[in-house]
Amino acid sequence: MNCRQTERWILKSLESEIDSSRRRDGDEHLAACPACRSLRTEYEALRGRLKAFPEGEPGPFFARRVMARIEVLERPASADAPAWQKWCLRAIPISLFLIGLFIGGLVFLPSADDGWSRSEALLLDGSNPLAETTPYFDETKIDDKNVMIIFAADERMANRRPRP
Amino acid sequence: MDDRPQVESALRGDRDAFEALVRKYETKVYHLAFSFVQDPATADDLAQDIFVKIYGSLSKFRFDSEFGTWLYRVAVNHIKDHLRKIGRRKEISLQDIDESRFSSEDPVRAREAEREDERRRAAVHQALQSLPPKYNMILTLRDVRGLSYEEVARILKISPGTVDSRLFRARRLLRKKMAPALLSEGRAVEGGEQ
Repeated sequence: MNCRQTERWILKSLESEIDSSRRRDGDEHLAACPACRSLRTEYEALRGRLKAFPEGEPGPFFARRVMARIEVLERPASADAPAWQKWCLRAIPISLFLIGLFIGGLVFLPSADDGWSRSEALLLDGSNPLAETTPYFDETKIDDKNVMIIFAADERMANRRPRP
Repeated sequence: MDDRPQVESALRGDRDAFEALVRKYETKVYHLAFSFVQDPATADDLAQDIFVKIYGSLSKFRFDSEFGTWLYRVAVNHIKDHLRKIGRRKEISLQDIDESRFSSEDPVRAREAEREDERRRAAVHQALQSLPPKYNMILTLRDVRGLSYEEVARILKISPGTVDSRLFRARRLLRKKMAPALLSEGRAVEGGEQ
């Protein structure tokens, strides 16, 4: 038996019974080999230390604490929310419905003001819509010209628009 | 005792059945966690996390192994993740040892002996933590927890032959790391016995 085989033999012998012939071989090697003897001493000490690791006990009410954690995890998030948050959560679908209704109304209901714009009306009549603005740009007095352009900018103020 | 009826009840939502399983395995799981972290509070937290995880993944249990084995497997993987997160090579200094355990009423020599024990334990734990995870796992399961080769093989999902060879390499590596301390301790023991 060489030293490497003896190392395996030492570890086996620490764990379980070894048959007598193998035991004799190992013992003979150990008797002749100081290195393997010190190896056995080290393995014995190591095994003793590992076996002596303390175990302790779980803290009190361990199972109850585990179950309490599980209960918290399983509880729906809304169960912990204050009353106002619950109302807010309920209000969300109602608000979304009302917003949808409003947008649908804007899109699908016919517009109250479905008449032609002034420019469109002039174009449909076959008139030149620019003909109306030409005098503004022909005006030589700069102040009058500016005032005319400002008033002309808003078609809804047509009745207040000064005539050239 | 077969856990199947309780597991099936727990799967149907029976919390009392699951609580019974927790009570049955709490000490084993705690001891396993403690073997790796050597800290009561962390071991308690880890054990709780493991049971919560077990509850969440109970539906994945296929009854193709014993519930206890499956539980151990989940526990080992969870602890492995935890060790990876905190960094395996965390130093355990003597300052980490709870001084309050050494009561001032104890005789000085007893205190010293206890302190020495704690020092040795911390040294072994530190050496174990510094091993590659697969060696740390197998040594803890076999040499610290005392599980059989077959149990270790089932938990780690490896063959008994692999358990044997891996254990040999793990013990060898650990011995090399601890050789000076072990030799002096061994000599002291031999000297004391003579």
